[in-house]
Amino acid sequence: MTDIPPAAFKPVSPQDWETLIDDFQYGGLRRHKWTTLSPVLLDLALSSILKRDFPLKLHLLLFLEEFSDSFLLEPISLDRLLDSLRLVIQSPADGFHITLPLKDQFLVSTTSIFISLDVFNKFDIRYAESLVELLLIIVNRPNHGPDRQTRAVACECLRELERFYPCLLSDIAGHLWSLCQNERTHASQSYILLFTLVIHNIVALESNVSVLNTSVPLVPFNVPQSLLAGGSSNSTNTCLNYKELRRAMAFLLESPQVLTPCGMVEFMAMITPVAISLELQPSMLKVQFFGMVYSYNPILCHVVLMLYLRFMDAFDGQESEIARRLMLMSREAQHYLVFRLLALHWLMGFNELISSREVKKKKAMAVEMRLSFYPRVFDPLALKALKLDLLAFCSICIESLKSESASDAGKSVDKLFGDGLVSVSAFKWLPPGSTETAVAFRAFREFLIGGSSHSATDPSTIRTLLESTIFNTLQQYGRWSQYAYGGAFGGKGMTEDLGIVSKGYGPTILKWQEDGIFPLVQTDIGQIWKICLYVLVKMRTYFNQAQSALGGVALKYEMVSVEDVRNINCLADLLSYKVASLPMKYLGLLLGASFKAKNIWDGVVEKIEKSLAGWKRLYLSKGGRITLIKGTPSNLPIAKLRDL
Amino acid sequence: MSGGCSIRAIWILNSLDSVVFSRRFPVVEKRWQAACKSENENASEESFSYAVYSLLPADSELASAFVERKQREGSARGFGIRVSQSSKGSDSWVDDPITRHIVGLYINKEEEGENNLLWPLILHIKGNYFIIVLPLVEPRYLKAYTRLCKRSDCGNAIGADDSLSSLLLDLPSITGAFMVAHAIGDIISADVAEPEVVVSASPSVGGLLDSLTGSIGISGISSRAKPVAAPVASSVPSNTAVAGAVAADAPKIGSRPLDKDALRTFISSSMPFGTPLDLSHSNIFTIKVNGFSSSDLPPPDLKQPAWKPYLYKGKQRMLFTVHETIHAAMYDRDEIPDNISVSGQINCRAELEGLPDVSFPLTGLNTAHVEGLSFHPCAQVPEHRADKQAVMFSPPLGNFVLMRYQATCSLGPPIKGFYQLSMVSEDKGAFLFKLHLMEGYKAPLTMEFCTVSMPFPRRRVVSFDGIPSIGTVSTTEHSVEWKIVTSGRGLSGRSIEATFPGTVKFAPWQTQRLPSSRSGFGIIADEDSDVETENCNNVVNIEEFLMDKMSNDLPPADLEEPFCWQAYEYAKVSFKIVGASLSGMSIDPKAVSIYPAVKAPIDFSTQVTSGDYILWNTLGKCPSTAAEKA
Repeated sequence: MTDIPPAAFKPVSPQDWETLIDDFQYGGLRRHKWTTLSPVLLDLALSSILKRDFPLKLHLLLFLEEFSDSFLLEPISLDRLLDSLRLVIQSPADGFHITLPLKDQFLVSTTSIFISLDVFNKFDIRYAESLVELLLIIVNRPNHGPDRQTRAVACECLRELERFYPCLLSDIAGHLWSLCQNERTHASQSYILLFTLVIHNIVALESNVSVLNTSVPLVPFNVPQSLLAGGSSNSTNTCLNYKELRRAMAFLLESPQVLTPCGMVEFMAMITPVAISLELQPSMLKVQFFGMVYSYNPILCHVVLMLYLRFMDAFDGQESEIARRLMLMSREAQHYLVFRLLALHWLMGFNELISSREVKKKKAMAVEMRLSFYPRVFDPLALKALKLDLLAFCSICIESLKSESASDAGKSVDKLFGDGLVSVSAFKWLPPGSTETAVAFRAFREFLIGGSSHSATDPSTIRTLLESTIFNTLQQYGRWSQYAYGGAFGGKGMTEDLGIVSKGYGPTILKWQEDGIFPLVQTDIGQIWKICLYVLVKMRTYFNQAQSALGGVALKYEMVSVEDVRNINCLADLLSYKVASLPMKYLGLLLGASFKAKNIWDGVVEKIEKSLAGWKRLYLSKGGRITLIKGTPSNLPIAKLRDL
Repeated sequence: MSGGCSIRAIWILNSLDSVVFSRRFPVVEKRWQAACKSENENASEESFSYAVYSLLPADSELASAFVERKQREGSARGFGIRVSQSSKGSDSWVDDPITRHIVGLYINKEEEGENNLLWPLILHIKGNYFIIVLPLVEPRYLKAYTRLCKRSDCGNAIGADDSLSSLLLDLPSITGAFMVAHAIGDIISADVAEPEVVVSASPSVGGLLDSLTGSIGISGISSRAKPVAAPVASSVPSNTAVAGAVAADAPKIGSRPLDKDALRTFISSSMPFGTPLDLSHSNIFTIKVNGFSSSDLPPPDLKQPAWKPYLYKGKQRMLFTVHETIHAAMYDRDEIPDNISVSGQINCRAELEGLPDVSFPLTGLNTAHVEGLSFHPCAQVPEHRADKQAVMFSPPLGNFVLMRYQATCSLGPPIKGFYQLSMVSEDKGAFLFKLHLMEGYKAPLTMEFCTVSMPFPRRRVVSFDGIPSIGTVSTTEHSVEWKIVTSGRGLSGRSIEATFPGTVKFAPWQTQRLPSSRSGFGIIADEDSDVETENCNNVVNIEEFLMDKMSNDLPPADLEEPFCWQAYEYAKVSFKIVGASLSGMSIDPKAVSIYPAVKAPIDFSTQVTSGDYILWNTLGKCPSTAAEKA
């Protein structure tokens, strides 16, 4: 393939066209090399399509549609395009050279080209009028048998035109309505959607037209004067014909059972704003459409949710039913995982929404549902993670309700936390890089800080944390946090050491906790909060031991940041900590220095030598000594490091 | 017009990350550009303003952005939750598992600065192919997401403003795009089988086209292959029944080539302008193949629904099949209760003339402990209480799933007992099964087959020793299979007890180092790890030692898996039971009424198969969850 085709090169054969289409789709230089062809591209393509036995007709039409922006369109090409369209539409379908799908696609592609090139505004209006007229002629044969699919497609073309040029068809709304009433084949969906859009646009633009009036003939079609004037000056008459529009709505609301789920989405998107403008009773919509929430089709459930979002008051009292449905949807093992995840997300979004409206009642609802959010054993980990989020949300609700009611709120928060984590409890023994660890740690953090303002710059959030129940119980999970900590922070320098420390040497950890040195690590994740959490666990220990206020006491605890932490001083002040730097002595070793360096182990060797000297004084049997020798090295890190 | 669903573009990439199919919808793109224009005009007044990326990338640009994300995020799907490798601006920075399905790509990353994020891209992986669908959303949602994946806090927050959840709640176009992606996925894999409906006497009944062509009398144009009789589990997302397999983010190489013509036809008919109208492939392909003749008259008084383009003509009858899948986690422990659940569906095929309504009461619902019912869109569900126990529907053509439900087992587990495996040395395990099959199950219930398999995905089985009290045993490289009941010798009207003691020998354990690219989460294995192998001699408990050693290099599980399968020892039971449902769900053929009344024979059958039916090793670790009790 040459890089730049000669100027005279014209694609003729199917292979040429395939290459050209591929190049256009690939983009960049490969597309660029065809620029010289752009003035004649449309003409060339049309003549190929009209050839009797050209095999790529549909493909070529799609190409014209997708890349219409690269043509230099002349009025004469438009004439050609319309003529070709007429030719194809009027030829009888022989099932071979002219097929019904070809006719349909030609209609769609032509409409699409007209819209993307804005032929309405950039060229003589007669082009647009003749296209619309052609479509109307096709549409105007209700119940005609063999071409019903083509009629449906023509309706879709008209709908797309009406979408871009609102009120284009409003003058002939009366005709469209009667077509809509008459059509009984499966194409009726397209007729209904077209008429709905016309109504929608009339209402949206507050255009004063009669939807019953059929005095304007369907064909010949003339673009309404209001559109020609530029579109903005049509607001002279701002009174809608409410009575007629309500009648049209009543007709439309009868029809949903003929729509496909996708058609329903379109229908509802158009009907909802109309219902609002016409001040229809929302309960009417509710009776008609709420049943869709019981469908297993996710998009229909979403339609009901959208309806709820628009008419919250009408659905008052239905929240728990909707929440229950979403929860059940997340349990449906027959669904693709992503729809189960979406259901939980909707539920979370829904909870946020209703708790922002009417706080107490709705929070109580979440609390009531909490048991149904428990992860199940065969739930995929992604689902478990989201369910844990919901449990965390419940625990926040319990926290915020606890002041008024249940004295055992604290207990139930503990329970939620503990029960929730059982589902990923394998993180205790799986390697730190396991997915379970990541999910467990995520949940852990969610429970702790989910309720706070979540901003690192707001110091009040730390106080909130200190007062929370979940924080009170963290102590017992301290060890868990260790694991998670080691797991979630793979990476550099000290975190590696921590990872090793946390692998299961219980005594070391305890020692460390009592030690009161709290490494504050800013990892590459850059999350001050994860670390705060750890610090807070430690602080609690301190509280219990010292039983004294934080302020005024000599600074006992130190914080160390490994990388640049923005507000370390602010945090340190708040917690009455000292800010220290690496390397520092920690568990008898230099922390922050490379543990591969020989000299940092000198201290250890010295101490163990001392211990060994002590053992020599013990009179052990030979067997006992062997056991001791064998057993000691493996336990050294555990037992001896503790004494260092 | 918010609330609709339109698609800006669709791409399909192959396993070599090159685009093999693409389709753009210029009309939708025009709407997007108009929205961007007005958004950018408004945004200039705000303090937080930047232009949104408003162009649709060429195929090559998309492919390179896809590769770039794959490298940044570890795999095509990505990490899903925030890990130490996550970088700011990546999807995993958002810290939500759904970002493995709704992804963002940075187009021409090196050339431009900020405004090159393409979102939301729906990613669906089917076979070798990555299907990417870009729905139209308002530019402000794109901005909101950009903020989400760049904010400087610690990940997902519950209850925060503009959270991912509230975005998803506001955007039905994302939901719709998933429907589109899955429909396209079915076409790519030619997995367009309709739900299976079984007739008690003869094998399963074909799909829509066959019924049509059969009835019209042209059987020659049946363009598709006969629908595959799909077991209930395969018409739904694979529940990763292949236990213990390293889950498949990396598609397998070498399957059927892409049928681009079928794709083009489907896309052009289902969404001519990028707005989906009907995603039913059987309808679309039937219309394409059959067209309409002048003898296809519309009904005289009713509107023919868009989802039923043809009306049935011929001998009338109705078929119902209840399909149930049993999932169970059997622990044989006092502290963990066993867990059995049923997910079921009623498949239906209504060969009825005209547009009749069908209704019937659901019997057995009270005893069935059914916790959730959901219906086909053709069913009319009253506003209040879906569980009111009658179903009324206007059936579409062909086979369809009338309703789905989740329930508990009303009969007790079909297989109970225990599985114990204990490692007597590093490479040798002794095991014991003791199982009761069909205990308490009465006559019409028949177990057609039952197989127990012990997978050892990480050990190679060298030899095996032991004789079961009933059935036959075979081994493969990584498993031992025990066929208790073989097909042809169904078990009906009685229960049996089966025991199987034995030993299994493995090849010596070898440390498996997986390529580091797969270590999705957390720490990259530390080469200087201080686990000193020499010290193991004096560890008395071989089992514990072995478990430790083996669990040390377990690969992280995918987020789509329920847990790390490879970390556990278990036996998986597969079986099929016919005769009645285990939940108690059933339909009384006499109670089915059709309006307007016609005389049509009604056939009802049931079929129960196993899903994840797991016996956990009583002596080993097992995953569990807390019980949902107050």
